[in-house]
Amino acid sequence: MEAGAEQGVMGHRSVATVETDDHTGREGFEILAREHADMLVGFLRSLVAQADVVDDLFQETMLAAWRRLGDYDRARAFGPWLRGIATKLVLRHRARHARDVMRCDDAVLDALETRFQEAGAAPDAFRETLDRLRTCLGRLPVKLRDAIRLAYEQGLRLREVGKSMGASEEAVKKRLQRGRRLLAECLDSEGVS
Amino acid sequence: MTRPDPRDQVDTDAAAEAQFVHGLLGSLGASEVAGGEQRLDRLFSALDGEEAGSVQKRGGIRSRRFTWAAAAVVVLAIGVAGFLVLRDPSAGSFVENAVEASRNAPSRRYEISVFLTDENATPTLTGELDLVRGEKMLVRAQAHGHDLKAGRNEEGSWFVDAKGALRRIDGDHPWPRWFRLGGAKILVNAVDDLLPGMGDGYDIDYLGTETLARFPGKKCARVAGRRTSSAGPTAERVDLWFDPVTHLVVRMELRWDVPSGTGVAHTHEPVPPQVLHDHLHRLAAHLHGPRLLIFELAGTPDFPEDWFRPEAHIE
Repeated sequence: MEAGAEQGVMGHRSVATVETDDHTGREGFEILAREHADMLVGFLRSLVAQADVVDDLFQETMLAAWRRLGDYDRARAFGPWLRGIATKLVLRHRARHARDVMRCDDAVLDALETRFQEAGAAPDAFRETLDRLRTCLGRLPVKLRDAIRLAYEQGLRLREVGKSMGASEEAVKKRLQRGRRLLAECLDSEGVS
Repeated sequence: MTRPDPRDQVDTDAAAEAQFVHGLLGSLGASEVAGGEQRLDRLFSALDGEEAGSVQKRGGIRSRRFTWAAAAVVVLAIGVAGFLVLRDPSAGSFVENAVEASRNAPSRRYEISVFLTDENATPTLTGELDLVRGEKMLVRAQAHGHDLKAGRNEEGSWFVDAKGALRRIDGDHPWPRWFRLGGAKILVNAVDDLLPGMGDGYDIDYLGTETLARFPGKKCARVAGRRTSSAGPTAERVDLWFDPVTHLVVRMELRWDVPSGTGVAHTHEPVPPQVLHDHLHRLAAHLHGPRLLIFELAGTPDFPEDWFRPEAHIE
């Protein structure tokens, strides 16, 4: 899917149509926020390491979107617009807390945007991507799957994962790297890259 | 640290790929269901604060498909009358009897009708609520060609998601506040669960007996309640009809009298901490025009043995 192919708010059956109306703006925004919340969390987590920072940036992004709703071009998709706001906030955060933020030079940001557009062509599509990821996770070799589950689902640190699995931190790190790579390949084969 | 190490990702595509998967995996965390709701709660509370300040100029959005039908609400009644403040002894006795009767009723089916804008129009949402002694619950609702199935039994609560998959609800995955139903967002809960947040309740009066069209020849006791507080999220008016023999509630109507187009002003009364209040607060704050929820007893069927098991309702 090409960049910009994400459906606009009028193109998705369950998404509110944008109109200027002070009385109905709030609930319409709530619908959009709910439909894009998972995607926004995923996007922020692809750039920011700490979960609490992700939560704060999620709030900041959504509030900024609410305040700027009048500037939003209704003919365009909401997701990329939201990610644009999020990206600016992440870069601003990086200026003060560089260690919190992963690689986010222009090239990586462009590549990530392409992936999220493909993964989230519509709000339901992003959830389907997560479903595919679950499927792919189930296909991983046991050691890689266990490492990823302990690290991501249980939120354990490398040392804790290693202790749980009887492996060194370095071994866990490699398992996570390999696991992520295999997951990416699996998603790619499933039509998500 | 579990994040991708940039030293290992010199290639842009490889870095983006690793970070992309890292982001997706982060969204799959075990706490994401509950955490997602908390995240949205926090956001909407912040929006409440911004709106109260009324300093932001903004554009708005609304659903073209069904304007406010995009946010329907179904409140599922189990102990349908338990939240009323018993200030009228005669009215109170009907309520008390109904609560007791509900506890012991082996099975009941209520039909649900939700009118979002005009109570004379076709209901926006219809459904059925099946109950057994307040212990088991099954709701099946339809709106705009989409189905909602959710329930509660001795093993816990569950719902069927949009893809037809069974989702169980436990301590880590609490009962979701909203279900998607086509373009509508449906709030589903049981009054049993709602009771703690109902606040100070209602002044109620016994209005004599009435015969309802659905129950010819049966003189049902009618009790009407009006919310004691001038503003708040709960229904402004509640009307109840009781079976003269079984004492069960045969019909319940919940009304929010909101001047068309203005919605209910945000209330700034003390807000109980219960989640329920937040549900209803949000509902009341954003619905427009009159709205009505009706539960009407449709029968006391003998439900099949597995009726309250989710597997019986997955196609």
